Amino acid sequence: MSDAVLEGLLFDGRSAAATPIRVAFTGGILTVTTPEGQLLVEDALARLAVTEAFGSAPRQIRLPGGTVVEVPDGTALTAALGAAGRRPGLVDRLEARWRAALAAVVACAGVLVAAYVYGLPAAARWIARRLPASAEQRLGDGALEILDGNLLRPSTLREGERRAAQARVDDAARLGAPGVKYRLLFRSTGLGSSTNAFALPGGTVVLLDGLVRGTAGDDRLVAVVGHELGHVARRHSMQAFLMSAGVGAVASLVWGDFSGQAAGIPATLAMFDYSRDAEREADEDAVRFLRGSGRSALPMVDALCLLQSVERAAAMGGLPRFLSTHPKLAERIEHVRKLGNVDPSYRCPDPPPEAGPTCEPANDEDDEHEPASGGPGGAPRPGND
Amino acid sequence: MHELDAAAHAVPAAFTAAPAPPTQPQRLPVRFSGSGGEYFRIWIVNLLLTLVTLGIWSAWAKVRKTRYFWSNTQLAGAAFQYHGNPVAILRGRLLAGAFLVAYSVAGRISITAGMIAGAVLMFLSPWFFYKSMRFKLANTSWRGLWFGFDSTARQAYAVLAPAMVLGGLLFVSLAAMQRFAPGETPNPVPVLLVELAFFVFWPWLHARVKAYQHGRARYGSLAFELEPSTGAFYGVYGKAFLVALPFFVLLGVVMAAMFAATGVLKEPTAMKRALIPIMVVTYAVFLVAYAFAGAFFTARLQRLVWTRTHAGPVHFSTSVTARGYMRVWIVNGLLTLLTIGIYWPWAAVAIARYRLDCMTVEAGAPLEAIAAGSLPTERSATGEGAVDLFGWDIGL
Repeated sequence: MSDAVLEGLLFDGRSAAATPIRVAFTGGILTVTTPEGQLLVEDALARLAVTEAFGSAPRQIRLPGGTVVEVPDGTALTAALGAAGRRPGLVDRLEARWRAALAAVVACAGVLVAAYVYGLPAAARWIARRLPASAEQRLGDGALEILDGNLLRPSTLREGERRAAQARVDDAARLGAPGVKYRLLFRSTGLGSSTNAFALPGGTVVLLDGLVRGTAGDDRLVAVVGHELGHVARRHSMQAFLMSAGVGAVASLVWGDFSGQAAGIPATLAMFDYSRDAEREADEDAVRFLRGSGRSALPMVDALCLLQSVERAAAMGGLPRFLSTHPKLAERIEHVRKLGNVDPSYRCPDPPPEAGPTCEPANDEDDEHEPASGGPGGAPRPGND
Repeated sequence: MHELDAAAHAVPAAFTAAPAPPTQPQRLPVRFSGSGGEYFRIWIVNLLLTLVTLGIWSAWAKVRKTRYFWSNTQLAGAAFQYHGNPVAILRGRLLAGAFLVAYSVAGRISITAGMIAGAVLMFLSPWFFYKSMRFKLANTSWRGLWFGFDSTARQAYAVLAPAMVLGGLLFVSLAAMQRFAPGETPNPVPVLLVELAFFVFWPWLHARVKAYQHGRARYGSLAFELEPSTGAFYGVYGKAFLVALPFFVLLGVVMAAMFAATGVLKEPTAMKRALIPIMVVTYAVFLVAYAFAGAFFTARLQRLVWTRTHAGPVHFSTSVTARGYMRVWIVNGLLTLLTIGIYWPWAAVAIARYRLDCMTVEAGAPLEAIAAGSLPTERSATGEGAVDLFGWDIGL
């Protein structure tokens, strides 16, 4: 068999002293001798543990009784072991080959793309559907507690305005989304536009004052709530939470060694991307909701037009569009228009005549500040519902 | 087994000398033989295996990657060996992962639950730290002898008690701020006082932890020791602060100029327009400040710690410089970002090579005299898992 003789050091495990030795493999037997040829150890190769083959790095052979043989020339030891019939492990061999490494690059990219496009959304949907409603409710309550403590302020709507909005929505929901449990909350915001609404896990839909005022007396509010109830029924918040956790976990596997902060970037970017799909789904739900309650899809188009005009008013140097969670409103309008068979020649009213406060962002902001300063808009009311 | 003389060419001169104690300290060569290409292949193969096993292989990947670096680190002609058990690491990571999930879910359920989870985590952190140190050192060997961390959980808590007291105060003061209803102005004085205390005591706490980390380390029968160096820590922190100061002044000047240029002061709505440029400039200045002040701090701190560390007759020193670190960091950071992470394995090897090539080890007595120690082995990797997952890695 192999007669390669390798130089090495023997450590007895009792002191740091090193003994120079020679190592040879003959017929599956390891022999350790002094440089003069005196036999020190003889053992069956199959019984011994040998450390991984890392290129030319030194490798160690562990002998019974705590003795260790270290061979500085790892490449030579790997060759000698191979000749003696002991091949490196599968992972060792993959790590040793450039071709395997390049294949791994391609495979990693494939796995990441597949997980991003199919795996994570499917897994998040599956888990979100199986989580008990109480867990979702609790997450929603927690989020509301934090939002109320920081960003949101009590609503400044009059009792009558609130009742009218509630009645309009309840009326539509009875027909449009009979199975979906929800509750409406009215709030104003401390900063930014308040022509908006959002859904929390567990079915809480928060309507901001600007939206309720801007859509008073028409079905755009119903369309927006239909959209939000779509988020609720599909458990989008829960899915978003799960997916951001998933992307974060994968990103930390890939980039965590480099920098934890860098690993956080893909998770953030991914959420903007995933939220686009969620918005489209909820838009489709809104159209279904409107139809179910005996309305046309037009209010949804108009509601999106309203959002677009608000976004345009705020667009002067705000966040770049690719960072917006409601991007490409024009695309969404087009999608809803096709889906709802709205006359293709229909254009957004420009400027929207009903969208009072949103046309004049300065006024809008003044409105927002009034309650905090106890202005004539009425003393701050405690949060309702 | 001790016919040493005839094999002078096989081992470094330091260990073939006659066993009589040398009068001159002997310089032990440090060599790092890893290569970026080799490590890239290991990294990418293990990354793929980790992804297709849904993260389970990450424990084996960690062991293989650590073993690659240790095997390629040679001191006096012998390599280091890492013996961490992947199954134990996997168990530790699963446990730490459960903690992490509980912690992040608690924070979303309510502020109180999040605070309780944070307090529990803070109370456990000295234990994690201690267990992690033990796991790291008790699973590393060189020349057939094992390293160890000769301490108890009680000692770890005693060392970290001042940090926990300060952390607890910060916690309480923040909690008090949270209880204010929106609109009311909370009193910021307690929080500022605690932050000031952190600022003042931080170098002392750092020196205390380093003295503990290095002082309880063992190699065989040798005990490591870090000379008392609290004053030197204050010196390094103070100088790093002075190095960073011009950048903060620069940031202030640039911000003021940008505010003036965009007209934010006259017209508050222009803030939106100025937001992105301000963010970009702030980030850029922070990165440059980090490259300068961070490199300065890292180099000075390593020099401080290693020149004052010794293990019996074995002394250490390092010649790392701020300039050297800056060069390695800037090249690494740029190439890693430009290649969306593909360059990272080369970067990791470059950092290891720089650090190790700058190390000097001098033995004032023959290494043959070092005997095996009697510390128990450490099998539980819970602390290691927590340190990995929460990103608390405090390198030696």
